[in-house]
Amino acid sequence: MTAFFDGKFAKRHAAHARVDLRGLVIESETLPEPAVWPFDSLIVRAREGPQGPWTLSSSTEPQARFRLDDPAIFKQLAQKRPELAAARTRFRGLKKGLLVGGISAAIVGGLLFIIPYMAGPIAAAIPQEFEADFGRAVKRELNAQLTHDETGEAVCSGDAGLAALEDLKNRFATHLGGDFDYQIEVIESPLVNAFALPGGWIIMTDGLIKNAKTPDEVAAILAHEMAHVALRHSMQSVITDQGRAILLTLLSGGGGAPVAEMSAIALLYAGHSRVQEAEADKVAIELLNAENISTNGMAAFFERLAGDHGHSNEHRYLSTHPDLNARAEAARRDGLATGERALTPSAWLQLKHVCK
Amino acid sequence: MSEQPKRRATYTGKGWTVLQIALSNGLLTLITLTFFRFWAKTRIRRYLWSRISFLDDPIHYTGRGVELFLGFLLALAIFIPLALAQSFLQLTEFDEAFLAGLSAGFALLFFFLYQFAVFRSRRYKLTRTSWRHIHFDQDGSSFAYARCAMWWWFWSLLSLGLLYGAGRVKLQGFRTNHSLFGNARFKFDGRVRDLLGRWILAWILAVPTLGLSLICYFVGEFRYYVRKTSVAGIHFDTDLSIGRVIWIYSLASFMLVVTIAAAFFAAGVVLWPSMTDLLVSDAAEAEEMLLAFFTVIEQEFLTIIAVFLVFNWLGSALWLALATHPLIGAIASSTVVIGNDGMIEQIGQARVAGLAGGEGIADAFDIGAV
Repeated sequence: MTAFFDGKFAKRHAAHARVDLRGLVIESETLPEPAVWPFDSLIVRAREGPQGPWTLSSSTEPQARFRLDDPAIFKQLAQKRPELAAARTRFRGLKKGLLVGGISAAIVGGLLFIIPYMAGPIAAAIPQEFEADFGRAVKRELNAQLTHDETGEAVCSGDAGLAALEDLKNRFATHLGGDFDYQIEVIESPLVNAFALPGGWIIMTDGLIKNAKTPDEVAAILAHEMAHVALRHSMQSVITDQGRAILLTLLSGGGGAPVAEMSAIALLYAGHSRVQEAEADKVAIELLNAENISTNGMAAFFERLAGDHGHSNEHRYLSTHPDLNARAEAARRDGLATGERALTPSAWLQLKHVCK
Repeated sequence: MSEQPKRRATYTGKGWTVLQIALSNGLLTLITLTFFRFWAKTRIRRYLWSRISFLDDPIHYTGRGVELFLGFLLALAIFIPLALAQSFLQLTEFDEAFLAGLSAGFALLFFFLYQFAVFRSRRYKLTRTSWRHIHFDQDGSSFAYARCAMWWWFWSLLSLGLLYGAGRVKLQGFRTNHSLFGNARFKFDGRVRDLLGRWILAWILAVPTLGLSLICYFVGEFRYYVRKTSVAGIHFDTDLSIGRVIWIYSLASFMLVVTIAAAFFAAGVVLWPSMTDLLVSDAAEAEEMLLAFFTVIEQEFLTIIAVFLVFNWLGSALWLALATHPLIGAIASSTVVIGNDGMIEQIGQARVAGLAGGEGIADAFDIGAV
């Protein structure tokens, strides 16, 4: 239905249109006088199909609209102003949306990519007192996740076994610079894993201790985790994960989750990057060499995990520590083939029973 | 009043077209890491709006994607400092009670902002909607609305939901009385006492009827709202039936369940080789099985994400075509306008100047779905 709306009142004027020399002339019995829209003032606002109807407006009367459903009239208008026929009828925002959307996606993608490189400097700037407090909170969350004890305080307390670990720790610490306060806890969990947390906390599972065939293996893992602490890898991982999480949360428009809890989950499931693992291995081998402990234990541990790939849960260590065979090879190449046992047989026995 | 003509609104949208728009929108949204969503929303709104006609004239949506995008940036400018403040405060103290209080405080703040945004978004949609090229509008303070919403949520929680129905009526009144068509203001005549009894009954029966009583209540409430709304002496009526709404939701929910089941099936097929590899072993204990499961999830993380993105894309497009579209159709085509032409035609444009260019960035604060 051909209709004219003056943009002033909610009234449809039943109208008919003709084209004369002045332009489009819209006449209606309910209009006091015909509206005359010059050709070069015409704008196509919408077209519902190839044969119309068209919604037209004029720059001389910007609020008014004319709904034209006669293709013959439109053809006459298009002869005077060919661009009317070429007016886009598809969704106008498509190109702009893809352009702005694409640029925004590239910016966010770029930020996601850059975050790991910014994590090092940011981690270095964080005060140690803060890292200690934060580490304690993360440790509590991680402990609660692994032991299913809500307090996050369930730890193994075999004094002699802990003393053996403490002794190893002190030997390695003398070679590591910095004033880190390394603190070790052993927790009861079937998982074969160890974690270096912010603030110098190292968590070792009794699953790992039971899995180890010699004290040299435990010593190697301890050296490796202490290297993570000394290199501040945990804080970097936390910053990377948090940065990514905040960015993605903003994309989807969600709220903030508790930082310490999320950090514990991230360290538990995502672990460190490949580069960080290689760095920590390198330092760990140096520590073992300095203490005259053979790296055969380290290599054997990695090889055993690599051999069991895909057969048991115990080897979660694997999924966060790729290239185990290559790492074992590096340990044999750069370390000592023989050395002193890391612990005396009696200390080793005590450590094996640290959780009972 | 009985002499006034009654004319039914119409809806001419096609489910197939809605599905096509929704599918291509979803695809473009995926490849732009969700940033196309503002233009996607604009595109579907333009289509749906233009298919609803009152007295043979369609309504128009005149919003633009870039306005929603700017609104999103504005919202980010508010949310980023808040989110950073929350993260920072969480790191100052690790005491459990402090963290719990902090979370509660921020949850309240975000809830307040959400209500604020709901009202703001409604204002945006109304200013971008016109009929016979006369624009709708909304005035009133978003703070006042958010305060009112918080007040009624407080009483709803305190009364275990019994007073929630009262809050809904009050907020509907607030929204309606602050809505305008051109220079004419909408008027809401509803009263809490007409609905509260029905709400309490529906609320109590919600569990035994598996939520069906709530659907019945919401449809009845909607009909009541329509009948109690007027503008410039023009009234409205509706014969929307509960059966039709339930039928639409049942069909759409069934399709959604099928889609979700298919997603899990597809994920299962993709992950099966790695699963069997891990589970066939000596992992006897439940805890070990769970760890093995998580290992697979971790290793196949990207595959899983991809499968679920695809089904989320299909599912949301289906929902739009099978729930939103028929529901709009049912609501529109059951609505009756009661009023003569003289009453309608005397309604004038409110603010002729300034409409074409929008009203600046503040108006663009929009968070609604469709």
